[in-house]
Amino acid sequence: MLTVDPQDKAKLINPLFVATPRFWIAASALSAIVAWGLFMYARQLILGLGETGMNRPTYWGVYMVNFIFFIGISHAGTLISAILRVTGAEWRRPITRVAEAITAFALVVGSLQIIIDMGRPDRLIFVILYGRIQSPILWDVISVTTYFLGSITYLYLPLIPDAAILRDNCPPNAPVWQRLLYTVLAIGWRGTREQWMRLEKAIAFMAVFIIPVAVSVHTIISWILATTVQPGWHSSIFGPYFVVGAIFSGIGALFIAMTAVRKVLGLENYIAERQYRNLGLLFVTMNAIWAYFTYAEQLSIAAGQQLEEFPILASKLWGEFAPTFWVMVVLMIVAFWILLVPKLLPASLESVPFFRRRYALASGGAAAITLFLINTPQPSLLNVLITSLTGVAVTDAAAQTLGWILLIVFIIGIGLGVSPWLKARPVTASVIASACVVVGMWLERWNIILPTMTHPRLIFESIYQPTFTELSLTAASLALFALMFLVFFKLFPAVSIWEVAEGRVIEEAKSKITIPAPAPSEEAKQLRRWGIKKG
Amino acid sequence: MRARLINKHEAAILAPLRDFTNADRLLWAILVGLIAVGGYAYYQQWTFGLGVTGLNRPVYWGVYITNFVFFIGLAHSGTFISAILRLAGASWRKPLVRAAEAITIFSLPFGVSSILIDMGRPERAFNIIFYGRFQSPLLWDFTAVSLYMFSSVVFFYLSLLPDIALCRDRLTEAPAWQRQMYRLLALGWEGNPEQYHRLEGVLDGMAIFMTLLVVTVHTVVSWVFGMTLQPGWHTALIGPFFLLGAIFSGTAAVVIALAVLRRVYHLEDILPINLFNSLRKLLIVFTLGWLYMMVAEYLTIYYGGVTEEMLVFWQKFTDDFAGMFWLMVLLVFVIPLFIFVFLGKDRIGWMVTACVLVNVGMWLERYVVIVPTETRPRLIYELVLGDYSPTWVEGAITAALFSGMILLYAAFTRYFPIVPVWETAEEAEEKPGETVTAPRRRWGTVGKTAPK
Amino acid sequence: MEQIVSLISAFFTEPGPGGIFVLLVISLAGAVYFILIRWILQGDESGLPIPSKMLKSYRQLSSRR
Repeated sequence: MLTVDPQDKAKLINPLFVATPRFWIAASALSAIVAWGLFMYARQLILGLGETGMNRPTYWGVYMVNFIFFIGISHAGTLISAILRVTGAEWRRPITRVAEAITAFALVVGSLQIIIDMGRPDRLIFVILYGRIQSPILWDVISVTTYFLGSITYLYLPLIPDAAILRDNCPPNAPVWQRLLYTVLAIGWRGTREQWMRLEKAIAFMAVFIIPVAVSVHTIISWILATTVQPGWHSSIFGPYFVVGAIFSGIGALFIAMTAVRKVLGLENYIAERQYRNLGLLFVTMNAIWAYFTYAEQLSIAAGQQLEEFPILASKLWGEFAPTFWVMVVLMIVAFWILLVPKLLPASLESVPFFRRRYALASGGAAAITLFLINTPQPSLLNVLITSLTGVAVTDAAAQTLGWILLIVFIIGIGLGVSPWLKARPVTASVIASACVVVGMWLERWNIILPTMTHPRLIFESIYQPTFTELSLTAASLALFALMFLVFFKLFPAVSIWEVAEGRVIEEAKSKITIPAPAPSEEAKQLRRWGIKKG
Repeated sequence: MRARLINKHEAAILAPLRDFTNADRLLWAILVGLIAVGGYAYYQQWTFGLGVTGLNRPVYWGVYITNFVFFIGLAHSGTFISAILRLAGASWRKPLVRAAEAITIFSLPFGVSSILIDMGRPERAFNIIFYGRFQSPLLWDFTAVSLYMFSSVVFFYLSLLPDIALCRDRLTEAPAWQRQMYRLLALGWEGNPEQYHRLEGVLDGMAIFMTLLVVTVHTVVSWVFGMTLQPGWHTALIGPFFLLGAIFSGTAAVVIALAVLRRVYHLEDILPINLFNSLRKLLIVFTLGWLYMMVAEYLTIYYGGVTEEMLVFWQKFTDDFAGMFWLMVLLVFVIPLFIFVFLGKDRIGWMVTACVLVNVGMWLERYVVIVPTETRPRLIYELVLGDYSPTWVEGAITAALFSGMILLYAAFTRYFPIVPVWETAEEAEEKPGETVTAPRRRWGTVGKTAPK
Repeated sequence: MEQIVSLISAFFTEPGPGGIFVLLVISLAGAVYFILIRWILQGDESGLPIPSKMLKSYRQLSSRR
């Protein structure tokens, strides 16, 4: 009979047996969206892939972007659970289950995207029957499957003791099927010493094993693109670049998920400021590394100025993909700023008038006006304004430059103005930054796939316009992910009960250790023999 | 009152500064001799021109540029340990910082002079200043490396400052010029708490700056190659590739330096074996990470099958440079990984062997990155099949550069403590009434009588 | 205004005395380091932002009125 701390029981176990109306509303809404997605998919299956915006040469579109996006998010689990476990970071304990759950469900939804992308999904069996071992697509199937099985194992193993705790602590009115579920999943766990030792060994092995598997997954996905000779794709940086981006977007998703869980289930005592602070530091580091890789890649293409490569970069910088590219850049900078600058500014800065919200709003208004003025047709209103204010005649180009500089100044003003507000609310700041990053990384996948697809090496250029079918299926995939998440955490505790309990025991044991004073040095001992006291 | 700091190993750390053995004299003589041979070789090159080397067209960058990239890479060890590990809060690094930073300081000048040696007309180096283009990676390279050298010296000097004051106060038996040197360099350091507090603050700030610099410097050095269009060079991965390779070879160099210092100066208590175990774990991660990058690079090239790229690829894998390439793979990955994982724990001898192999292999790797591409360049490969054989001049100068670095390092260890005394000191509680007898004035607050 | 625009575009297109860039960066770094080192050495027992010797003279100056 496994016992559990009463506070843990109240917060983590009792909600599992109560289905609030809020839960049913959310589940129904998500199920409705998923059902709509199923309908649209059936329609696509019957009417063919012409329902999407894909054509030749753009044969990979939104579905492929979603695929890479979801597999990327799945790296959250590995990073938090496995790498932090291997490096012995104790603060990971409350969030491991959320992370591992994200991994498992993101992998499911990601793999679904491939099937959705196929006009003839029955042909999927060909990968097994006729697959070439030299093909990166086959490696991809192997690695994603391995990673999926590994993640499920890595999710299940720490779940066993928790299932046993639930089995033994069910309230009397619990439904039979639920009790049966926990009994089956606990596979007869009794909590003996021998069992614990074996479990720890197994989890430790899985942690070390799953790290290279996870690295290989996103590397191989990137090699599906990099081993072609398409301009913009045939770059050796793709392997590490995608892994870094995956970990980055994974942390973003983890922030959002753990805040949601924390808010809904009231887990402020478990998922506390320490988790947000440490995860935030990792987040900022990953942001910087991602920016470094992006810069290295784009600079290479810019310096190379090769005939087929440069149009890709040009379309991203000032061409048809400029909006998505620059929005992504801005989102990443904003996320970086939100997480870093409030930490660097001292709290006392709020007494300075500039660092207050109303000035941020004023700067925002000024920025909006400037943006409007810049984009008016020549001779621009900005030019007129400057000439009338200063009496100096300026060219349009000069006025534009001045306008952009002013815009950047105002945006920095907004950033500084909201910093104290963000500093006081680290959780909100993390969620805002994560939302920016998650959207930004989706755009980043878009910016990698679409410009090359629309400007390929040999065939003519094309335009890609996603259709309603693709958008519905994207929405349905997100809804499916959220639904799986919701149902899972209705049945299983959001925080790993035994890991957190173990953490408490370790912390208490550590606090009881007293470090003895250092032994006196040889010199001191000698002097002491002569009656001279020395330190 | 702030608890005073005592370093019980102070005597052991200062011991090397107090004696100067015949073994030292012999070592210095050998090194000076090698430098003299290198000097003669350079004289030959100065008089007869770059024809005495193996350089030709199209192979216009050879052993000298390999040395340049290698030495700059070696320099990243120090900054990695003192700056990056400082930011990561790894307190086990404290005894190592000065030894590692010394590698940085003493390898950077030889990296920079490799460039000057490579030039047939070294006075033209001023053209960078007078006519340099802002868009050129060479100019960024020049700026970044100069800034890095300057900042490393300042960072090193600042962390050395309290120990110079210690030497000034303790080493009264040293010759007069040496004592004067300490007095001048100590800049009147008193060692009161406020000075320490400010020093720590500035070092923390500089650690962040140096980390950014390290990333910038080696990336910019790699972009001298990466921003050209030559097959084998023009890859986007070259930035992170060179950076990780530099930190890898630098950390291996630190292991070698530490093992030598530990043995020669009897610092077994101060540099305990768990330091080497921590470095071993880092080295395993770096080896695997670098292997990953190499696989990413060559797989992408192979699958692309682009004609010019494949020529260089086969040059490395099967043709002229196959011997060197596969030797490099053996020396950098196969043998060291085996040693690190199975033989390295608690065994300094094996660690040093593996690290020596790693550094030799990394030198070969730089060679294999630079030269094969030049033998099959993009445009003129149909007219000229390039070839390169280094001559004795290049070999002698390379030996002289390494000797110079070792000489400077060895000389440094005889005049300044190689383990930071102030950083590894422990706090000791001061009990009132306890008098500390001080034969002479000590540095810091140690030595003041506690109030009764 | 044109000067600023042309200055920025010149940075990206013209050949020029690149040495200015190098010298600017190195001198800026040098100035920063000199100020920092002087600040470190000025610290004394009191732990105040301004060394107490300077404070004392301040007090003397103000008390002399």
